[in-house]
Amino acid sequence: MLFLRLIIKNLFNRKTRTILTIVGISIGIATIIIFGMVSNGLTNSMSTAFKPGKADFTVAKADVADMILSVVTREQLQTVRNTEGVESVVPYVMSLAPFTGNPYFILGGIDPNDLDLLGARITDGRIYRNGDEVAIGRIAAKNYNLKVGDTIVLNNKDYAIVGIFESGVTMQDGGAATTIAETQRLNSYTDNQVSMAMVNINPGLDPRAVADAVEARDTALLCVVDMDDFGSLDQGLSIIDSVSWAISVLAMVIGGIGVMNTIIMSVFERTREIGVLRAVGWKRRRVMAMILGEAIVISLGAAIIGIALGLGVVWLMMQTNMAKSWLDITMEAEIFLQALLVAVVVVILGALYPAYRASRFSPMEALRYE
Amino acid sequence: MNDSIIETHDLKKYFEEGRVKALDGVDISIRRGEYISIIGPSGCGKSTLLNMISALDRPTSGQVFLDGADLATFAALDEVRSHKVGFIFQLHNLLPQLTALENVIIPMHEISGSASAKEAKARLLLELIGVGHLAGKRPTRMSGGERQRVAIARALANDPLVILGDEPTGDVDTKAGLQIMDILEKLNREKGVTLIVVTHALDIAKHAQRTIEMRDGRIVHQ
Ligand SMILES: Nc1ncnc2c1ncn2[C@@H]1O[C@H](COP(=O)(O)OP(=O)(O)OP(=O)(O)O)[C@@H](O)[C@H]1O
Ligand SMILES: [Mg+2]
Repeated sequence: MLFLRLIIKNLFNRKTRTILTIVGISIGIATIIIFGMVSNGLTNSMSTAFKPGKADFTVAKADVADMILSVVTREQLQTVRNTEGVESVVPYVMSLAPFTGNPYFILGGIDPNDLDLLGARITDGRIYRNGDEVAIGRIAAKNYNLKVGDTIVLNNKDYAIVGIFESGVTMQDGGAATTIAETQRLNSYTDNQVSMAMVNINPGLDPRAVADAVEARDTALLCVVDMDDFGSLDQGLSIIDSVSWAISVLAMVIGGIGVMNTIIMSVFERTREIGVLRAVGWKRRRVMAMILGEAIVISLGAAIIGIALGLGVVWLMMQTNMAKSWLDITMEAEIFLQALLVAVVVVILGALYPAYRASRFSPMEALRYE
Repeated sequence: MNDSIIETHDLKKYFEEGRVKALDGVDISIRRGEYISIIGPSGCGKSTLLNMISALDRPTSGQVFLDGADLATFAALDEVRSHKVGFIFQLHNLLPQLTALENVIIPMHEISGSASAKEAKARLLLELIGVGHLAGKRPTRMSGGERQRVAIARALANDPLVILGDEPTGDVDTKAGLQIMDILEKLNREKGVTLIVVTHALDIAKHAQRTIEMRDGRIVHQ
């Protein structure tokens, strides 16, 4: 208790330096939080997009850099249909239609009769009947303040909003849906091409096993059963993930060097003081504990501020339409623990050398130091 | 050796690869409860001798016995410093960010006991030295004499056998100096603490029971 009080007094005694150090580290932590939450949010919304509602898995073209580039043919889907264990296959066309501040507004093409199979339902109005009509997702309706009877302009074409649907999938509910033929036209697909398909299997079967059977029949296809398969489909997402890691690591390395720098300075400034502590009988270990203790208090302070800062930035981002329809942000304790852990580890690593140096001061030499 | 608390045998301390012989064969013996003053011209090795006795530094050769134990046998001298000796510097060397009370507690971090017991003891020591009213004050707001008295309280924190002062009155005016010496003498007289004081002031030296005189790293009279 007395020791902790001493540590806190030492930090307060050098307020400006302590605050600057805390700010430096907390920016690093905020970076981890922001990138972590955004890349998780993307993964969440994309992986649910690929396994919407009741469907067991999604089948798409293997080896595409981005899911938007996936194209499969009706023959391939027939092969899927013929695979043992497959109950139904729902073709889906994914088309992007820039819309008020969101360049990635999704206009999905899906046969109206298939909506059930995906667990999507019309909550207001009715289903679309032709390529001039759309149903818009619940989130899009709310974000853009649209209702049945309104007109929406996508790719310079007027569409009548005839219904509002809800699928429980952020990415789809943040967009709109129309007929397959219309989206094929927009994507310049032939009548024979769709983007991907959602697959339902016979009850009681293992989705993984059925997916493997599909992939064995046609190696050009990739089945996304859970999030782990997702990375192989969407390299874009894994790039985001790596970049987010690289930036976080860089932020913390810079933070660590900053901590080392400030603590070294504060240790040398306090040479004489440390000499006094050693002279009155403090063990090397205690001197080291004091310096490390100061570092730990700094890192805890930085963690709290960094997490708050990160959450604040993410909250601001979530106010934009694009993020609202594409990011499925969840509060995962893991990210916060990770940020806290990184803060403590980085700060301790940065403080270890200065603390060691401080503990090696000879009391005589230190006392003579001016 | 039984009633001697400090003994040195052919104690040598060289600096600068032997070019400076700060101590050049010192043999002294100090009895338990004695009040000793050490005098001599500047640079004769008084501080160096005090530093060897108080386990602040190790000799080049020779031995120091403190309370019957050869200091050379200690792997780490911090134990000796925290439990056996109390040191008073010429400059108070109090930590400026801490109050008087917290400064007195500093040496107690190395001993066991509850925070409240340590605080109570520190308060008692400050009162004993007559500066109880300064407990919550920082050294930067005290007079030189007050600081030095707080430093004495700190030296007493872990009930040392010996108190060593390296010109403890060197940085304060005559009146404060006499006050400080009064306190130290009282501790020696009433508590039986062995007292060793290095001083330039002869009027202070003559209060001691015995005076050790040094010149050029040697004892010329004891
Ligand atoms: N760390 C050191 N490195 C080099 N020389 C030293 C060191 N410490 C002391 N000396 C030298 O050793 C000699 C004795 O020094 P010491 O400090 O013991 O003298 P002193 O009697 O205390 O003098 P003063 O009365 O001025 O305090 C001096 O010549 C001094 O310059
Ligand atoms: Mg001296």
